[in-house]
Amino acid sequence: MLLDVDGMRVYFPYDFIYPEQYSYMLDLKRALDAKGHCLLEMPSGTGKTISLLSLTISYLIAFPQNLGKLIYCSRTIPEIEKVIEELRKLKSYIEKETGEPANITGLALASRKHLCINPEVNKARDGKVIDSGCHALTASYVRSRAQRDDNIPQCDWFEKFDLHGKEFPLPAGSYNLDDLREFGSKKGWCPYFMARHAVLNANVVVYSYHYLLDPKIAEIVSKEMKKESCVVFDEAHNIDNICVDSMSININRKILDKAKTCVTNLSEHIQRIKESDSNRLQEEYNKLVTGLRQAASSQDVISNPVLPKDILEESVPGNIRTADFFISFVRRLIDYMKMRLTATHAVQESPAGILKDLKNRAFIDRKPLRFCSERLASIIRSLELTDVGELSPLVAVANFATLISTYLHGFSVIIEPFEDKAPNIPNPIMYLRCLDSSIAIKPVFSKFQTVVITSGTLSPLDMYPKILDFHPVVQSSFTMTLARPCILPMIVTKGNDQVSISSKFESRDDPAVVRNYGKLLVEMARSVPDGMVCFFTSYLYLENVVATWYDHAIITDLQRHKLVFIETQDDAETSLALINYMKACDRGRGAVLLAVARGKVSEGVDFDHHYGRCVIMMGIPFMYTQSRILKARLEYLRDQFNIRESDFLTFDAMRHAAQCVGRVMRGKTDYGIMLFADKRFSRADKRTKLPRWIQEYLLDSKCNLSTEEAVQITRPWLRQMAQPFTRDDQLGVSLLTLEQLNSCENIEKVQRRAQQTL
Amino acid sequence: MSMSGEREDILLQVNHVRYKKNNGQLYLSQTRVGWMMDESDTFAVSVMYNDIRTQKISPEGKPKVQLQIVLHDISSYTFHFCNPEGREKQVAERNQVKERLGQLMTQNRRQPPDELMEKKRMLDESEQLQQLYRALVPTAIISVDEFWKEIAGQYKQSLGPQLEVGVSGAFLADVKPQTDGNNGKIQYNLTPEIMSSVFKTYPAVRKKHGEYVPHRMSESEFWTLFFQSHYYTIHTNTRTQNVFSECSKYDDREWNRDVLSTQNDPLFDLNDIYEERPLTTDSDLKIGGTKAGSNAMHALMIKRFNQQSLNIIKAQTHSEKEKILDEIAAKNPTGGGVVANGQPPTTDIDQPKSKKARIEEKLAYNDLEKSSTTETPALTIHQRDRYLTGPTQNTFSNSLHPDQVVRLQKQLDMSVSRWQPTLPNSQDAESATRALHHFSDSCRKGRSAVGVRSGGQLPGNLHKELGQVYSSAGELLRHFWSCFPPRTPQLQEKLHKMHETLCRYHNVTIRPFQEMAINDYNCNSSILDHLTEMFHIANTKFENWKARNSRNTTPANRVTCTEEVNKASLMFWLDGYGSSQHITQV
Repeated sequence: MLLDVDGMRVYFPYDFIYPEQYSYMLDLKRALDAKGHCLLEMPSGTGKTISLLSLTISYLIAFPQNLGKLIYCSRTIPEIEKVIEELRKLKSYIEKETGEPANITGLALASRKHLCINPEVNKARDGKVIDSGCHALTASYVRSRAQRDDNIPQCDWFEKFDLHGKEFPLPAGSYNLDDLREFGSKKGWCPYFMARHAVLNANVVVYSYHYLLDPKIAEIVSKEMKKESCVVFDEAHNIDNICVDSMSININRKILDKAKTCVTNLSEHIQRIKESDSNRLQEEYNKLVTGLRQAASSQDVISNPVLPKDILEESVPGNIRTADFFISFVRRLIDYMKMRLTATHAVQESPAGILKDLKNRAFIDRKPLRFCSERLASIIRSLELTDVGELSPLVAVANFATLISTYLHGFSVIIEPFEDKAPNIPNPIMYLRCLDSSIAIKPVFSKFQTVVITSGTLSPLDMYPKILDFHPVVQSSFTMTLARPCILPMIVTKGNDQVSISSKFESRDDPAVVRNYGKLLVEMARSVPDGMVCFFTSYLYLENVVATWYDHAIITDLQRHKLVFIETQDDAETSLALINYMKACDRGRGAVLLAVARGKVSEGVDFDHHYGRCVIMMGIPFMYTQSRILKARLEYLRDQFNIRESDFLTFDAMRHAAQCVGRVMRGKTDYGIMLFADKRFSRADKRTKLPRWIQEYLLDSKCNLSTEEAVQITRPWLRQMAQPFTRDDQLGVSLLTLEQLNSCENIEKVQRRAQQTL
Repeated sequence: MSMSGEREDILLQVNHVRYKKNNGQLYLSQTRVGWMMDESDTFAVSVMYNDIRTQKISPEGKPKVQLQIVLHDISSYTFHFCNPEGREKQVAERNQVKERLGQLMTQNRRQPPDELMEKKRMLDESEQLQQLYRALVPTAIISVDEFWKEIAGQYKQSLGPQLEVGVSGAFLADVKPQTDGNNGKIQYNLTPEIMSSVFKTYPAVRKKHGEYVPHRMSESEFWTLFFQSHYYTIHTNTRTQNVFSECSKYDDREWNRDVLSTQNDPLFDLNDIYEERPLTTDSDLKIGGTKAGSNAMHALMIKRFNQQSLNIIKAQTHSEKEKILDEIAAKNPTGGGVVANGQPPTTDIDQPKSKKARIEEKLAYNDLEKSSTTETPALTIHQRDRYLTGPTQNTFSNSLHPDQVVRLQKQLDMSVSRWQPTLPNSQDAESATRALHHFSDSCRKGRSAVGVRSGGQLPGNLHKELGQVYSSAGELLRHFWSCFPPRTPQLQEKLHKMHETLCRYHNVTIRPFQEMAINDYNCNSSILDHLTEMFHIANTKFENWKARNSRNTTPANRVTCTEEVNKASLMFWLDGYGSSQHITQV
């Protein structure tokens, strides 16, 4: 239908619309008009993506001077592909409506692992191997050498693309990863480089978070994006952790050893070059005198973490300018780090402390450290090294040096001789942890005019502007308008024996608690049809509970009703379990999946319709509070942003809990039970941190239930939900036609119903 | 001797048996064990064999010679054998009872599902079958055995293939090991269902069972080992060499293959769905072996749970696949021929939907879309060539030039638009009235003619009975005709038999029915015309066949014997027709 949103014509490829979708578009339009950032929470499964695409594309069409591009960041590859499919649908609708081909180009971008079509390279399944395999064929010096010598292999697809592909823009259309590969093999062009080239001119770019947030890749891929773009972070409830992770480096002895080997190889290489072709090193030296920017060619493989501009203009300090000096400099650095790793007790230091220690013990200044990663990149180019994958440990060390000398605030170095959970296995690790999530995302906020942070679970909304350090112009949470109560959130606080259930540390191993959890699961499995998912707070807890359940024959009870699948720490095994869980649901056998909150299943897999009629959250998924990394971060948040530790911990736990239970809902025809099984959930500070659309249906009467009571509520509800549900039931309440949106008072009513502005 | 009302044969009677310090007699019958006090005529104890869980005897050295029976509800009865002839006699009596009781218990337990009940259920389920049974069996038109063999068998087939029972998720839980009272043995409760579940779920165990039993070990030894293995006690990790360690290797191989196969699933391969950060060194951070903090035993257990569930699903998949292949084979018995619809013989049950289709499925919002798709029945084309070429092709249109067509069309348009109806001129009044008369007359006639024949005019009971007669006669005729061409001796024999049956049916059912219809309901005999015609044709066919057959080969005595029957039957039939026309034909 053709909508009128705040005076703008919006193409929406469906005949009906949810009220919250309309309100969502209104808010998004306001943010785009104001050229500011916004924060929007909308329940999962209410068509967030299509609303977003509809509005921004319509905006692109209506005001091309104000908005040039949509950059859509998502978490997983299937999500990325879904966005492109939705775009395809929208595009064909626009074409049908306007009667002429729409000039919209959208494409997905992913790593070479997903895009490479060179059979020699992509036969490896490991992404890293493919990357370096590609690099060995396509690096500029390899190619120039190949022009001289016919025996050196080249990638035909890359060569063809380089020869013909660059001048032709990608024809308008929506390109998924498969489409790109298909198009590439038809033309004989490399899809990966074609996509990277096309990203600059496309209207819609869909890729993973890393391409914007990880400074190393952002520099390569997203550097040339214009300011007049709208950046969307979908499923952004976890964005602060991604930011923090992308700026953090972990180093252990193995990495240092490998780095050492790399250095030795490098120096051997340098000696050889010196004998054969000493000019090359001299050339590089001259370039480094003039400055880093000149030294870098257009095709970087390894790039620096965000460096202030002035460094790039400056000349490289003299003591690392010659290759030999640099090599010995890196050796000293690695030796120093090795020495630090021998610590027998945990150490936490600030970057300034480390720098001082470096100065005292290894006689390394701060300034050359800052240039470390750039200098390494330069030497790799000069030496024409091809195997970049092998060098990654050395790159990590160089990045470590650059980061630690660049950022004196917001980072912390933690050295742990062993993991907390396994104190018997010595495994010293040096963590350079970013504590401030705003550092990584700051360039994004300042570079692009509109950044949209959206997810199904962003409550409490005011936390994100604080920890990401930005000022949203619009900040809204939408509820889910429902014609029937298709979600049933409940809090179960006690078992049938009135023993309260909780995953808190003191009572989690109490057999009574574990048994009550088991009984709850069995009882629900007995009354809920099809698929059921159960999330535990940690993998260790899951293991222990399953073992106890086996001893108490609770597992056999469970198996009488449903097949049991369990997430493991091995991804491939978990995938297998997951696929068979889905199969069991498809067959109508019913199955229960035991998974872990924060695990890969909880983040990337939807349990819609019969794949998940019930989710049980066993306990509150708090982070491991004894971790030093977490403690350092909490301390930093307290000092810098005035966020209390407990507030942040609860916020984090509740967003993950909400994320887990939100996996069951997909659209208003779906229905599911959301069961929070922990006494602590019923406290006000936890409850109020749930997203509004869940809170609304969480009545007081359902906040302190025993297992039996929960089952009693469940049974009639399931029977009610299983009744046929037609469009007429929804129409006017949770579903609107175009006519219903045409009058002003209706629109106001819709907004009142759907929105809660903070 | 009566045991609570019904008469039962007493299989064993032992005197001098004490129960609760009272003297009495112990009886064993076909279904129960009973004890009666002396000078009493009612049973103080009466226990069905099915309720008994186990029987126990007193150990050798004990002064009292006793036998205890333990019921499923843990209650028990203890009998004391106290034959005055002495201990040896007592023991002998006790052992006799023990043996007999054991036999009877197994007899009662192992009884196959009651055949009669099964038959009754079938009759209850289908009204038509029940009618046929009533019409054919009590009247001795065909024998009971034949009915079940021929007619019911066919009926069963028409219901389609039986649904297969899947494997329960907790099939091993029903084993419920129990310690056996005094001598510390563990008893496993193993039923054929559990065994078949185990075989379905673990093909490796089935293979081993085939290899080892009975050549190298007995059935019970095999299962004892099975219960000691990791299959049953999931958390054991004994790697001692036994029968099942090889199985576990096989399972591990299967498992690894399955794990690898997940890499082809683009949506659920957790390794693949997350875009990895380039140039990370994460892999170097992991330490080998089990993950830190994780309990190896627990991890193994979890893996086995997953494996078990996976195998259960696989077992189902296998049987489904086999079934579909069987169906395909049944459809074209020539084997390797073309399958209907021209599809390749492979089915798509194991082919996953394409990635794109799955993504689109995930995206669809049913309620936002206008639902204009109405349910349309699918057109099944068995021979595509025939459909595509069509029956005829009109090819005479080439005689007209396109211009001509246009011109002609214009002319037609013109004449149609100019046409003015001139009704008074089309027919004169007189002939119109005549035509009207004529029409209404024949209409009236036609209606009444139809009415007489229609079933609506028959009295309700008669109508219903007629239907029954038709249905059972039809069934018999179907069997008769299915014998043609009678190539094998079996078929010939069946043909003779069916012919006899038909004659008898005609004799026993149709003739009385016809008489009744005429006498009680005043119907003319025409309601059975069609049926008699069918019988007549069948008879002619049979006669012709027999005539030809006897000319070729003359199996002397049989022909004469059937000839007599035929003559007799012919007589009945001719009676029934009562029309000379048929006689001349015969």
